[in-house]
Amino acid sequence: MIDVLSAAGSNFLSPTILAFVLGALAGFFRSDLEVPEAIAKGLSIYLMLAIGMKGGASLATSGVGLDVLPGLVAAVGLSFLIPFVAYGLLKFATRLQSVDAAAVSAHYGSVSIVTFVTATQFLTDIDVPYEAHVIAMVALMETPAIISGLMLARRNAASKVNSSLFSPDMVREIFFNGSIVLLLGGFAIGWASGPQGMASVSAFFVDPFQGVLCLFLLDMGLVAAHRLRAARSLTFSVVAFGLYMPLIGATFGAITGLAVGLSPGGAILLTVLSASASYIAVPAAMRLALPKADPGIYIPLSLGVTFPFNVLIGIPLYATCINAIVT
Amino acid sequence: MFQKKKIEVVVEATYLPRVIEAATKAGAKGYSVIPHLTGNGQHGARQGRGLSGAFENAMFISIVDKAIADEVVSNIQNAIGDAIGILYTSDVDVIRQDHF
Repeated sequence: MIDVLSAAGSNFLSPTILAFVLGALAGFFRSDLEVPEAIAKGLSIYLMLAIGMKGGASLATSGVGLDVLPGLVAAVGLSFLIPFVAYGLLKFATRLQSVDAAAVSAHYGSVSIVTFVTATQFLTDIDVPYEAHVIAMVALMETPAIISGLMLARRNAASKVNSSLFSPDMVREIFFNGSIVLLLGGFAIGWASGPQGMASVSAFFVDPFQGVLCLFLLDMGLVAAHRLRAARSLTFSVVAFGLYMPLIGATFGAITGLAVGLSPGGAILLTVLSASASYIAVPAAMRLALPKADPGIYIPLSLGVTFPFNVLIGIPLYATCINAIVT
Repeated sequence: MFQKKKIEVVVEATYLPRVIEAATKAGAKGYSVIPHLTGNGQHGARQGRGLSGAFENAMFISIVDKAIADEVVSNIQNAIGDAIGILYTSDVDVIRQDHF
């Protein structure tokens, strides 16, 4: 494995991270810069489909065996269990109501696909390979945390859980939200068409990937800054949670990734996934199932605190730690 | 001209399917939707981003006969529950009686 420490240093100077910082600064200084909504949506569709197709094509090359099962089971287990740890910490260290703590916990068990995409780019930059089936782990980790969050909320009658877990609109939000459809659909397309098929679209889906990620992270910087500026419900202890919880999730992810035999690259990605907090599937599911939970807490915390932390500091930090463990 | 009731609902986008179902079940013959509504209110800034409807609002508009207006409103109210939303009604005059 190459020198991750120096790569971590140069991570701050990579175009993608600098684009994110530019967006965040523009947001904080109330610039009129904005990425039009439809373009931002188009960029996210591109990124998810591209990352899914890359994973599928890579799986078609490497083949798939039973050896991927421990990793997949571990991913589900991590997503299901991390919310219980998060909930315990929130009840101990903050004054959040139970329903808010349950909703926040679900976000931290689930994953941020954009953080994951940024981490894959980081690994590509430093020439560290990773297992193709990690893409499937991303999709698997979205949902179990929602179930845990609702289980935690149900313990408290005042939470008023609004929706049964399998009501039609919850099922649609959980299993058929756009990100899951694109990620798994892209994975299936990449796998079915194989490396040859991938080569035929690589001029569009591979070569411009980093440039598109730059634009998308510019928008994410703006969004994160806006969310943080508009956050009225975040207290110091809750913001602190948004910074130490990724480290705790990362620790679980790293131990599990190495224990189930993932390569260093795969373990880094599982660590990033465990450290990240959802901002696509879980907020929508929580709005439907836990309308009493305040979105003014979990959305800025996930998008405005944990996402920037992971992108700027977390990814190189986790890579450095795992590199130190395996070498 | 014929007097009807216009029902307008600004609601978080994730609840829009429930609002549509509630209104049509109560007898609303048609509706219009304005998606991707942004704004600011009691719950802070609402501006859509990403692939989820969790951060954005949508507007539901339906014109119904006065005889069923109360039932449509009450059905929508039940569907929205504690979600972020505003519901208001107004009297309107339409030129095609049989459309509503």
